[in-house]
Parts: sequence; structure tokens; C-alpha cells
Amino acid sequence: MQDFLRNRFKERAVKAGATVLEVSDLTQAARTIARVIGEKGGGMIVATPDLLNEPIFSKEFDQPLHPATDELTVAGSAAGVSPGSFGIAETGSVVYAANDRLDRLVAMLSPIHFALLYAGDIAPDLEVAGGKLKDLQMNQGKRYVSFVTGPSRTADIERVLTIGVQGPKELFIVLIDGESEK
Amino acid sequence: MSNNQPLINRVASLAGKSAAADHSPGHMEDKPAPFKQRYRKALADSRLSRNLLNFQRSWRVSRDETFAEFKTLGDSGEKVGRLPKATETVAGNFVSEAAPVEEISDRDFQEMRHKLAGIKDRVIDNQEDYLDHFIQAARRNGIIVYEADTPAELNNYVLELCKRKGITTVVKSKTMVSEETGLNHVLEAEGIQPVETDLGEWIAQLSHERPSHMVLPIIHKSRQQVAALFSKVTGRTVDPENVTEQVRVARTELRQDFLKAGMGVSGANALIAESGAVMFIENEGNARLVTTLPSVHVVVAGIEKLLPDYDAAMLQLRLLARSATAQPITSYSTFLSGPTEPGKEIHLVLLDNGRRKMREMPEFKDALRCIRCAACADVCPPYQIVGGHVFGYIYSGAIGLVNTPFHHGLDAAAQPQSLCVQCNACVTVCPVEIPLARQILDVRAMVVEEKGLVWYKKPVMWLWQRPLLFNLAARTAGYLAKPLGSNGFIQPSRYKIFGRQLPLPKILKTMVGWRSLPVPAAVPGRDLIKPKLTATAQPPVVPNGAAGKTVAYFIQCLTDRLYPEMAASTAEIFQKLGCKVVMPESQHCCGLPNLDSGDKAGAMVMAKQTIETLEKVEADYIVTGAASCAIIMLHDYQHLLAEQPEWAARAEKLAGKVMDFITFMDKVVKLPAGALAAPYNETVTYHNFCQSGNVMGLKDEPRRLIRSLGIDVTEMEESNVCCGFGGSTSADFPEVSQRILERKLGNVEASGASVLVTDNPGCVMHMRGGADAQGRPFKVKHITELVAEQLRRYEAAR
Repeated sequence: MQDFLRNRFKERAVKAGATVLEVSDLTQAARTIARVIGEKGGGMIVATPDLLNEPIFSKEFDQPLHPATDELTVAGSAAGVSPGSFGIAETGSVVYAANDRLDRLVAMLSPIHFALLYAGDIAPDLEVAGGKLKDLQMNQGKRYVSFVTGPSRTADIERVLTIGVQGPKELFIVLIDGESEK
Repeated sequence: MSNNQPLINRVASLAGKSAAADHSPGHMEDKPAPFKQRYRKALADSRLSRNLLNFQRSWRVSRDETFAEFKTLGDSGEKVGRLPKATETVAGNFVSEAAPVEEISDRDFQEMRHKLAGIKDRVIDNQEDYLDHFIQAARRNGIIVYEADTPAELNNYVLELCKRKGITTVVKSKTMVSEETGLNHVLEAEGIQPVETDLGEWIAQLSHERPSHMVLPIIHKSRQQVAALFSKVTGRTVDPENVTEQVRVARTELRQDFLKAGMGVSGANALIAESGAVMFIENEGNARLVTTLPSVHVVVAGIEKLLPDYDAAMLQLRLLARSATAQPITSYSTFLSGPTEPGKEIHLVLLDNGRRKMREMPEFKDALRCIRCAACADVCPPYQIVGGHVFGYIYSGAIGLVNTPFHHGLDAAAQPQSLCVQCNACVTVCPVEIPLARQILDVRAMVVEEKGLVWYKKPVMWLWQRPLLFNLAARTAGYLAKPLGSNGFIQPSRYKIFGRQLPLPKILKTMVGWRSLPVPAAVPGRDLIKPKLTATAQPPVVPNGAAGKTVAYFIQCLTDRLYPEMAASTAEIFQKLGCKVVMPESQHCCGLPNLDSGDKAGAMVMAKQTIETLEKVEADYIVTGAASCAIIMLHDYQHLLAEQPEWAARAEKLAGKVMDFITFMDKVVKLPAGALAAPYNETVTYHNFCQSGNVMGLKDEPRRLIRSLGIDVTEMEESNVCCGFGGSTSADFPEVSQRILERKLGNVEASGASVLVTDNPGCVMHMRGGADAQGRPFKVKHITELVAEQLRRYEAAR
């Protein structure tokens, strides 16, 4: 079942325009992100506090990771990294539930967004996701929850699909083996 | 990687209003231009209907695919598909091809929409309770809630909030409610700059237009038009072919507005009562910025957006994204339940503006289920011709014709509503089962009740309601018209005087230049049939399920007066199948022309006449060759007569006996494939008369019937799209009718067929006349004509 969900999630996420990178642990996740950004010419990477304070993760980068201090910093970065809360196999979505405004901005304003997700945290479908969403909002005080599915896009002009409008132009989902501790 | 510097400083360049007053962003007139003006403008724009045709065709394919994919994926990944084809055996020594049985799945479009419609109905029926619950929950979460009864109250609330906080720039994500209230206009008048940040809305704002589509605001525009606009606004040349570059212009230009705005205004796709949360979905990511960056956020939403809980919200997500943009889910689906940090203010303005009134009217309350997906526009034939600025008012598409009287007054809806051809395509794709076509007729009846019938329909309807006088007039017209016709058609552009074409007035060319008219018959069909009815029943030509039964034939006025031969051959078919045929003598018209014209009183008179005539008949079945008459009797009479329960009950009883010809052949006669095979060298294609397909669901049935004749059907593209006749539409808006017909005849011609068959005499008249006037290389036949001919060939060959 776990494999099925993982495969379905990957298939749906790719179909929605995301790139899925599979890694074994947090260290590998950091190395993979550093490599991808390196290949794209490098630059400042912003990350949310939980990642900045995680030495296993942050030590893998040549340049120190940058905190999301304000919107201009995030918008001017090369990429942003933030951990998602859970995934949805039916749609290939990563769910974000951060209350902190700057944490949210990492997923909204970075030109390239790396979404970290544990493979064990994938819900099968929207019905299950709806239950988890209800819990997040009604019991855990999460005020702003988004299902993020692929990069920002538009088809407003002649219904031609164009990637990267106001939000990220590229979405990488870094799928880590195992489950989050939470 | 592009930097975030604007291409030019757009705002500064426009600061000197005098130089740029002609294209200052966003300034817009208070109200749309008069209808006639909008209509003429749309017809003159040759790119409009081409853009919309491409859009409708591609949307249809991808929308159908995404629903089909969802169904076959299944939760567990197992294929949930069709059961093996069952073969149904019926009495007698023949076997009919049975319809494939679709497995009922909770992932089926029909199941899902039925479920969501039920949920929305429960909320609508208890709206005040849900609203109270929602408001209390939202307030507990720290949202400031304000209830606005009118557009002015909503606009003033936002305006006062801006003034109180000294806000001069407002970034907006897409909200139809703010279009409904004209918020931008009010803010601009007070020197506050609203900036639309959804790409399509921004383009509309820059070109001083309103969205012509609820989901794709500028779907009527081409990339070249967008490039020209962007070049003008930015002062730089923008590549007219490169959509990616055009999108980049918007991203760069809008970033600065996001960063300096003091307020964000967003809409809502749903209001979740159990938690007080607002759901909004989008693809661009602008709504998330609008709701996160500025410290003041105002949500504006209609009260009909209420949902009970998260489960319902998930169901809506599945239906909405697929119906709106043919996606399984949009890029961002956000659930906002309150302010996330100190200093952030969230206001929620809930708008009534006629919604409570709608709720109190049984014939309209279902429209409050609407989730604003715009699928009704995406399948609408007249919408494809004129676009949403004409087919609607602020809200466009079928739903716009229904809710405009409540939000913007009956005057605003009076003319747009008459563009509807009643093809019912919208009803088949609506994700919340709104009976849009019927509601549009109810709006039409309101318009006629208040303003009266248009002058040229008054004498026609008056005469129509008087069977004896009508009979006399029709016969007289038949004699008088005889010299005008040639080969059965009247086509004035062919009239010659001294070898030269007769000069015709423009109005005549507009009305009939593109479609020849049939010559009315001096001797109606009933006169041809009557002498043959005394014969006793014949033995059936082939064994079938109707042999020995009595069929009452309802001829239909058009068939009776224009195509008497068609009427005679229909009676001949019944007799050859071994039926006893009776013809109710006082039969006249079912009332459809009245109903279609909004003449509800006249329609009721005709309906009662027809019910009285047909309930006296002693027969097993009442069959008509006119699918549209069967449909009004089966589906509209009860609604039409709802206020007179005794008559409604009689209508219900009648509906148990009435059948259209195709259904009769499929469900009663049941001929196996090839039963009437005989040499026939034509290529046949079939036009699904829109109501037969969309209301009665007849798609496989006519094809099975044609196969029983030993004839294969060569399918054309879009066989279920309307032919453009649309009852009175072809008289009210001949230009629209003509262009829809061209789409249809083009599809027929492309199929390579030499014979086009359909099951409604109105469509036959329209398409036959069009094929004649335009010299198309195929013949148009009614299904009864094809069956009768093939029966004769079958007998001859035997």
C-alpha cells in the first residue's frame, strides 16, 4: 500500500508539472538540492527556521542557507526550501500549513521551490486529506493551509499553458524515505 | 534568471494622467454598453468567434478526459470500467443490442454532481442557520464579518476601510462578486488604485473591459491583441506570438504592486460553515500573495458560497477544477480560517444582492448551487458566436442569464436571455445539476410578462392559439406560396428579373439569404394520412415488438404543414410494422413555440388543448416524429402547469404514454441490427438533435435504429452540438443562428457523408434550408424518411 501511494503520488505530481527527487534521508535531501541549484548556476537559497536549525541539513550547503527575513529577500533568492505537512496521492499535492507569514512566503515567492516531504506522510486521496485538513484547522490552530500542486501556471492567454506566473516557476518535491517525527 | 526590475515604471509613466488618460489602467464605465451595441461589436469581431471555437473544442476534449481519468483511476488503482456488454433478449425470435451497463461509481461525474447538488440544497434550505454558524465560527477565529445587503454597502465598506487606513493601492485576486458590485469603479472615483493581479483580469482591466468568462476572463482575446496592449502599456515591443514573454511582462509588472499595496481583496470559492474558513483556488499564485502580503485582507463573497464542512469542500474541489479548467486540481487550493500574525486584519464581506430573493423562488433557487466554474459557457453554441460580453451581463454563460435579473435587474437580462437556443448542453455539464435551460425559459417568461412579446411575434402567437383559423391561414399560405418556391424551397436571392438578380433588402438577406425556406403545403399531412387509416392492420413486414399495438400519431404542426410527405411516411412505417394507427383529429400544436418565446399563458392554453385531445385517444402509445414535442410533453408540461395541480396531474398521466419516434423504435419495436438491410449506397451521418441527446439522453438509440436498417453511421465531429435553429432564436438573432449552422454544416461536410439524418423536424428545416442556400453536397433527412425509404427498399428486394 505504501508503495502504491508513493507511486501514485509521484505519477500525479509529475503530471501536474512538478519534478520529484527521491532521497533516503535529510542529508541526501540537502545534497540533492545543493546539486540542482549548483547546476542552475547557484545563488542564495532561503529556508524556513526548522531547516536552518537542523545541522544535518544545513551543513551540506557551500553557501549558508538564508532565513526568509522579508519578501524582497525571498523574491530575490535563487530558490527556497520548506517542508510540507503531508502529501496527497490522488492529486500529487504537497500540503502547507505554516502559520508564519515568512515561512509561507518561501513557497509563494521563490523562483524555484523545493518542497520536502516524507514518503510516509502521503494521504491516499482528498477525502482523507479533508479529514487531516479539518484537524489542522480546527484542532491545531493552523490558519492558512494550502494544497500545492505543481508550479504556478496560467492558461489565460488563448488557453496556452504557461508555467511560472506569480508563484514559483519550478517545483521540486524532495521525497524522503520514512515518516516525519511529528 | 530574470531580475525583478519592472520593464518600465508603469505606474510612474501613468502618473501624468493627461498624457495617458486614454489608457489609464482600470478606469471603466459604471455599466456595460447597451445590448445592441455589444451585439454588433461582437459580430464585427471576426477573431472572437474563432478564438472561442478553438477554446470550446479543446476544453470539451480535456474536460471529458479528466473526468473519465478520475473514474478509471479508482481509489485503489484498480480499473473501474464498463461491465462486459450484456445482450438483452426480448420476446419474439429476435435479439436487440442492449445498451452497455455503466457501473455506478462514486467517482462518476453524475454521481458526484448529484451528491454536491444535494449538499448545496440542504444549505440553501437552511441558509440562515448555516450562515449564523459560519459567521460565529469566523468571528471566533478573528475574522471581522460584515453583511452587505446591496452592492453599494459592500463597496462603501471597502472604501471606508481604505480611507480609514490611508490605503491608496489595493491588489485584487479574482472575484466575480467585486465585478458584480463594480468595486473598482467606486475605488477609482475616490483616487484609490485597484490592481487586478490575475493575469486575465489584469489584461481586462488594462483594456477597460470586463471579464467575458468567469474563469478565463479574456478568452475572447488573441495573443496578438494581448501583445499590442502590453506594448502600449509598457512602451516596449512585446512579441505578438510569444505567450511566455507576455506572461513574464505580467509577473514583472505586478510584483511591485504586490509589494506596495496596503490591502488585498480576494474572492472565495467556498465558505466552510463548520470552521468559519474560506476556501479559494487558483493556478497563478496571485491569490496567495494577495491574501498574505498586505496587512489588510478583505474577502468578498456571495452568501451562496456556503458549504457545511470540509468533506463537501473536497467534493467541490474535485468537481470545480475539472469543470472549470479540466484539471484534477488547481495549483493552489487554500483554506484560510483567520489572521496568522499580529497586525494582520481579515475582513469578510458577505453579499446578498438578490440571493435571498432567489432562494424564496422555487423555480430559481437551484441556481444558488452555482460554484462559478463556467462550464455552461464552455459548451454553449451562441456563447461561442458572441462571447460573454453579449451572452450575459456581468455574469456570463447560461448561469449569467439566470442570475442577472436578481443581481442586476430584469432589464439587464431581457435581451441576453433571448440568445439561448435551449439546446440544454449546459445542463449536461453543470457540476451541481442546475436546470439552467428551464430557468432561462422562466426568465424569458418574466421578461415577456413585464414587457410583452416582441411585436412580430404577437400576431403569430395570436393565430397559433386558434386552431381553426390557423388551419385556414396555413392552407391559404400554401396556395399563395406555391409560385414562390422551386424544388421545394423558397430562396429569394435566386429570384431573377430580366435575367438579373432581384435586389433584396438587407433584412431579407440577413433573415433568409443563408437558409432557404420550405414551401408551405396547401394540403397538410393529416389529409394525406386520413384516407389510409380505415385499412385494417397489416401483418408486419418484419417481426417486431410493436406488431398488433395501436399507435396514436401526433403529427406536429411543422411536419403537418411543411412536410406532409414526411407525415404520411411516418404513418406508413407504423402500418408496415403491423400497428393500428389512429390520428387524433383535433390535434394542433404542443405549445413549444409559445414556451420558447416566453409566452407562458399561450403555452398553457396549447398544453391544455393538447392534453385534452390526447387523453381521449385509445392507443397503446402516442408517438410523434418530432422529438421536441415529445420533450415538452414529457419534461415541461408539469412544470408549466405546476400552479394548477389538477392539470399537472393530467400532464403526468399523459407523459406515461407519449414517446418520440426513436424511443418507440428502440424500446418498443426493437429491431435487431440489419433487420431491414437493403442495398443503399449513401454515406449517412447523424446529428444528435440537441434536446434528444441532452434532455432524453438519446445517443446510442438512433444509431442502433440506423444499424437495424443495415446502414452504418459515419460519425461527424460535434454531432451533439446544436444546429442553431433554437426555435425563435433564428428569428431574433439570425446572424447567430447562421454562424452556429455553419459550424454544424462544416462538421457534416468534413465527415464526407452524403446524407445527414436527425430526429427533429425543426432541425431538418433549418439544416435542409442551409444546405440548399449554401450549396452543400449532402441531403438532409428526417429519421422517419430514412426508415420509410429503407422499408420500401427492403420490401422491393424481398
